[in-house]
Amino acid sequence: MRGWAAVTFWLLVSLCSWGAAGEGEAMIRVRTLYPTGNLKLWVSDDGVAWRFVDDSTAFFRAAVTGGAHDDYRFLLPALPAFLRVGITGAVLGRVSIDSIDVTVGGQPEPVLAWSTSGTVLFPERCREQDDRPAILVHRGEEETVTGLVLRFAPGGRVQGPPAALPAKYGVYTGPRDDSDALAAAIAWWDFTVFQEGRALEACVRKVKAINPAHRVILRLVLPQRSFLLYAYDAESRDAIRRQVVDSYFGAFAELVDTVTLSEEEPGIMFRGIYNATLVPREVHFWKHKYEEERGEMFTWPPTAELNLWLGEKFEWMLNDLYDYVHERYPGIKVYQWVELRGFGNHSGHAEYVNGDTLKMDGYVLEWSGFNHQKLVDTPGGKAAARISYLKNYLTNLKERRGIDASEVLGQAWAFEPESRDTFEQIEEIRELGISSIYFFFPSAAMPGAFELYGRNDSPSWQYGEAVWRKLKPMIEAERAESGN
Amino acid sequence: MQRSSWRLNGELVRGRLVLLLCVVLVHAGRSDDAAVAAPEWTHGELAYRVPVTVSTFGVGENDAPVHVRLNFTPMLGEGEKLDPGSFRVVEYDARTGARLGEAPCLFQPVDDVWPGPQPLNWQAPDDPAAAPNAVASSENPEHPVRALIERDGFWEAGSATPPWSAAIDLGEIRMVNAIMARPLNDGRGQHAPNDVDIEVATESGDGLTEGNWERVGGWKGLSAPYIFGMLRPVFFSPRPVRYVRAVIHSSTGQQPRLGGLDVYRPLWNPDERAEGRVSWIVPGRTEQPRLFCIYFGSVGEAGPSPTAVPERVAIIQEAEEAVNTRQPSGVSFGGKFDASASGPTTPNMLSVFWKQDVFRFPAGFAVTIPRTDAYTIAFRIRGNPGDHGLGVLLDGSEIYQGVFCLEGQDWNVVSLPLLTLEEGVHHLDFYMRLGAGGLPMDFDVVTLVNAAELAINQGLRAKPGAPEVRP
Repeated sequence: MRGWAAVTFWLLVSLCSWGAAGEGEAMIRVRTLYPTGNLKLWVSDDGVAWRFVDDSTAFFRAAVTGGAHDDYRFLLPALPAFLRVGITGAVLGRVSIDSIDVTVGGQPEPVLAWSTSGTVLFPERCREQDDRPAILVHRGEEETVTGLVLRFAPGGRVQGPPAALPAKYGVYTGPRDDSDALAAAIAWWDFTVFQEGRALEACVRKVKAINPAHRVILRLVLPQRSFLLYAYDAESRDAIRRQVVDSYFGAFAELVDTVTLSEEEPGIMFRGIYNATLVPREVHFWKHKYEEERGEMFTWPPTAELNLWLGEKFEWMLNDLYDYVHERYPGIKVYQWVELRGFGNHSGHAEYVNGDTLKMDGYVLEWSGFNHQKLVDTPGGKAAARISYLKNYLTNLKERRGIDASEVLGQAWAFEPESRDTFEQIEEIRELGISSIYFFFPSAAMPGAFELYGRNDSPSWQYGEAVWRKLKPMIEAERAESGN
Repeated sequence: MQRSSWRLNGELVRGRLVLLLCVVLVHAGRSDDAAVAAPEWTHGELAYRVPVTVSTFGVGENDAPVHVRLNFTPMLGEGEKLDPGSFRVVEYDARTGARLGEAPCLFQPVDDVWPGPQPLNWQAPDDPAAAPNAVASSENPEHPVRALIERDGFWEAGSATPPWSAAIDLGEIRMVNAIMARPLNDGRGQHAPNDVDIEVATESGDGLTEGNWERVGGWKGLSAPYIFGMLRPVFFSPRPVRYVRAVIHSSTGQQPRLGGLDVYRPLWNPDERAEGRVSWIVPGRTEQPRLFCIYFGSVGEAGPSPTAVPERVAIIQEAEEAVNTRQPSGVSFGGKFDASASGPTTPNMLSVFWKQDVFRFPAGFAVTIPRTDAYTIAFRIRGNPGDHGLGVLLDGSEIYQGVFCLEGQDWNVVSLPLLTLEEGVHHLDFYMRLGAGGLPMDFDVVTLVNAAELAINQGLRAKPGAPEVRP
């Protein structure tokens, strides 16, 4: 898996410039007899350590929606020494592969050797296009790859992953109480993104007493749908500032390293606005301001212009709070968590806020493990392109805002057994150079003190606990290696 | 002109050839008939037998399982009761009638009775004071627990804290073998019970908490597709029951709702109708039709020692026997007979179609495992070539979540990874998606074998003949 992000990046760059460059790129064409979304590709330098690079999901999606079954094409930035085409995981039955061929720069690339992995019937048949397939037989084994292995004389080696920085690990949790047990469990981590909680201050003090190096990050709580009130009513603005900032952490500000302005915004601030059939009263109350400032009639559902106006007011509130925190507590960093327009969002929330003008010292990035696959046109036909939301976002933050990866918190999800593997997310985050990784466990629980959160036997809890059993020794080993 | 003449001649030649072939075949058939001898009666201690012809689906098989489902009661003499331990399966030479060997067999009374009769818990509309009755640990006054017996509305717990319980008192002890719970949600995923024990009792002082309650099934931690819009069935061996309750330990949010907790008696009294399945492994290679006889006797007859459970067993269920757990169904199950599917009934397969690949279609089975062992669960199916989403539940818990792949448009046999199953009655649910293309999903048969794989191509089919009485 390590290095797949680099490969994907190359792939994207290659696709964007297809037709202009292309030298050294390898086009893998696989012809299956029947539609499948489970055909996967791995590359390797030595035939031992494999890196997953892509799969046929997008092709199958196209077939389900009525598209014709066609060849599956994958574009690699360079010809690998070894290519593996196959299936793995929860797949039952047979996948028939009629043929596999590879071209580099449009020229057929000879296969030096063919071999198999797992149970493959008639493997020799996939060397020719004749509708006589090699048949991969798989029984749903998670650890087995069933497929064909091709060896080439590589034109360029597959770039390995960048050297990962030493990582800091944290959690997102709410201090339910000020018990010693909970404080000790939290203090084990390098940092914590603290939700609001009944015993926030007492818990933070205990944590810092146990582990003075623990980085305290507070998620501030903005009142819902308050941005117009904040913008136009000075008295309310002062009250919100005090509530969100001074009253919340002023008493222990010396222990706080960073604050985030709410979370996943505008999903919280705009809840009840962006999907409202009738205009919410918090918006309707200020419609005269819109009409004054924009010179057009206020209507609902909102026009694009009205949405822009709403976003501007919210951005103004976030920027004002950024300044307020810096003015009052100059040593504390302020990170943003709001969806930035055009940066590569995935939450489904509208993109209200202009990411190019929003003030921030850093950013919280959630979308590890989320990839979007699409089919793009190439001279050889449709080819799969795999796009990482995380990489997209980070690239935009770096290039458009100068935010370094060291000032980004990368979230790994640790409660979805049927979705993204937590450890693959960790790899993805680290390979992008993000060194602060925090985990969202089921119910935002502290894994070292699960029982305090009313744990149960649901799949998400079981998964979270399984992650913790593996994660804890992994982090401890890394700490021992780095001497921390 | 020349070409037409050739075609004419060709057709003439072909016609004559066909005629000649028919004559030869008819003659050959008569010759065979004349040569077939009745199989000798090799189990003289057993009074009855049923001849069964086993054939392939056009592809040879090795050591493949086969079964027949029969009602044995009409075959018995007056006043006789079937002896379930008497079953023997013997193979004969189809032409000479000579005994070739005996195959270890498994007899299982039918356990998957789809509870077609009216539920026992439905109240007579003209006598609301009479049993059955319903009680609950708490109820929302707008959605009282009486909904579970009045066939209208739903029960919603009143208390905010679990556990929540709803119970039905049938008023008298009845034989019961199935309970169907119908979890509800509010359309936004709230209120659905998702950690539930279904329990039964014959005695209870208060009809809800006291008494000899025993768990017979339930479900826990299932994701939405298995709960929303689905019946959650529980099957078990017929047993005396007066009280039935659902104990709900958690919900998807807020107080849980149940739209039904329906209690069913067996479709028939097993003492009055001895219907069951006989299955065995057909030894060696099968290419041509093979002749077997199933021997059985009545209780009290001086028969052989009781049949032991064979080392290798096969539990086979035809898909047309499946329980449809989608409520309301929203999908249709095709009703046509297909000669390429196994099973003698009409229709003999489960056929499902929907315009999009959006639903996971359910097919549920009650299966009785004769011995705790590691089993392969395999199913014969056809549909759109390529991937199909698949979820499999056993007793309300997910045992497989992934996809299966179909090759071509003919029947495929798909096997799940090996799984240890405990002895007893279980409920097995398959949830499948249509995949890419315009073909329906045809589900033929599901087979459980205590082996690392079900090594068959297409399987075998069995056609029973007329029952015979010992001369």
